[in-house]
Amino acid sequence: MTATQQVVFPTEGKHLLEITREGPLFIMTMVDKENRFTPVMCKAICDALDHVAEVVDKEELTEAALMTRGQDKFYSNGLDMEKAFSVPGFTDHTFMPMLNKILLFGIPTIACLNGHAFAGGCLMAMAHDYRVMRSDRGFMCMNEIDLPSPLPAGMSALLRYKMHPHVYRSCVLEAKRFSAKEALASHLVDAIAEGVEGTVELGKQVALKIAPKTKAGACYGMIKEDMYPEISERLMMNAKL
Amino acid sequence: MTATQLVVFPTEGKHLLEITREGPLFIMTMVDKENRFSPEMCKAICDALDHVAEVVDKEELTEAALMTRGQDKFYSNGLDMERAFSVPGFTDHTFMPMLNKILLFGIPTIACLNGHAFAGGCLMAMAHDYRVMRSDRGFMCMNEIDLPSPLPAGMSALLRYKMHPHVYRSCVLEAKRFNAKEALASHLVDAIAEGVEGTVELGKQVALKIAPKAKSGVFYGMIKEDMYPEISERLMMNAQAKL
Repeated sequence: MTATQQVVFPTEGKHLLEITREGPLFIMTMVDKENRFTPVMCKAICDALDHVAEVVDKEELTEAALMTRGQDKFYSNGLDMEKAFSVPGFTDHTFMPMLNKILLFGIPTIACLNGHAFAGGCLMAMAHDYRVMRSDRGFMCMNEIDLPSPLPAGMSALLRYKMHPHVYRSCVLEAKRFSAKEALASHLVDAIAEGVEGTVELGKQVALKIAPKTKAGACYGMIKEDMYPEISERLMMNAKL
Repeated sequence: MTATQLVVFPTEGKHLLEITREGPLFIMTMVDKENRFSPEMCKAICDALDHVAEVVDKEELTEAALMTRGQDKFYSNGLDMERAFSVPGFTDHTFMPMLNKILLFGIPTIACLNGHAFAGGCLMAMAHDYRVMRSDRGFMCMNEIDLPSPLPAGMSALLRYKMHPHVYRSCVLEAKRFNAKEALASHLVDAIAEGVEGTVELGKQVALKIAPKAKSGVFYGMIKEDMYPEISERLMMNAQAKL
């Protein structure tokens, strides 16, 4: 895809994602307001990831990174409760495998938290290799305990193996709302900046810095598989492929 | 149980635990000096936990928390070596399942370290959701390596999944004695205060703050089961009787 080309997913009907390219950066913008996860959204994300992987492969890129972002106030507010649970097994067969696909993606991934990342949105962010966050507005939060709702083994593992134990404890048992400063201090995010544009610029800087690791080729994804086996096996535990 | 009622365990003979209640707080005080873990002590703790769970259930409490504490110089000094090992399989069948019961308890748990938490006592503290510690006296320590004694898989896992790796390494391989300041800096405890009374008050504050999470009902315990599967499966690995 060229720098001016925009690719959307789904390809027909109302699009939920826009993929743009800036040199080695592939930017996936979720454009569905609260960017809640439905069967259609999850499929769009997986198709978008496949598309990016194809381009990286076809052009034999030695520098590449994927940055995801939302718009305005939301990165993602989590599962669309109504749509998600109208399909039996959505979490096991669709949502968690989508998280696993991001987790093990074959090039560096950067989540640009332009706004709130709640529940499923927080999980999606944590599935990335890196995170930047807007410092003046927005929270990261796992609020299942307040709904109340269970936190399935795969989702819990994704947090457990990426967070310090005491942070994980407070995140899950308190539904703690992490501001950008707290997220930075707790090592949930790698850097913070003011405003949406500032955060997007910061995300691109982080992405550009890590993009050369794509030179590792197939080894990048392989290394990640061996980094996160405990997460991956639990995310995929009940997936029917 | 009412606020004035004191419930003791065991119910007959010399009691080792006293349960009191202050509103949403259930306070379990270990009153056996060094509070060493014997078969009787472990059963008393499990019975006490069952009692608290029953009251929470019966009164349909939407705010509740359990705070455990010792008296004077000791939270707990660990296993009663003589009594514990006079019973074959004590660790596998009794002690580790007791730790698991605390680990997965269905309401928030706070360990109030009024004094030393050594070996089994340190493990009991780490099994709780939160810990406060007295700042002017007392240590947390895993001294197995100095005895020397093994540190079975379940116990090691309890530390490993609740501590930063470098803290875990020093805790277990050095028998490092963590004073309250070090424990706080290492995130082994959540807050510290001076004196026994100060620490108890702090523990109650922490407990009161987290007690509303009991509103999640059965989900609290379910969420904890999915938080600590690696610990739980190893604690229960060789248990024949689930308490």
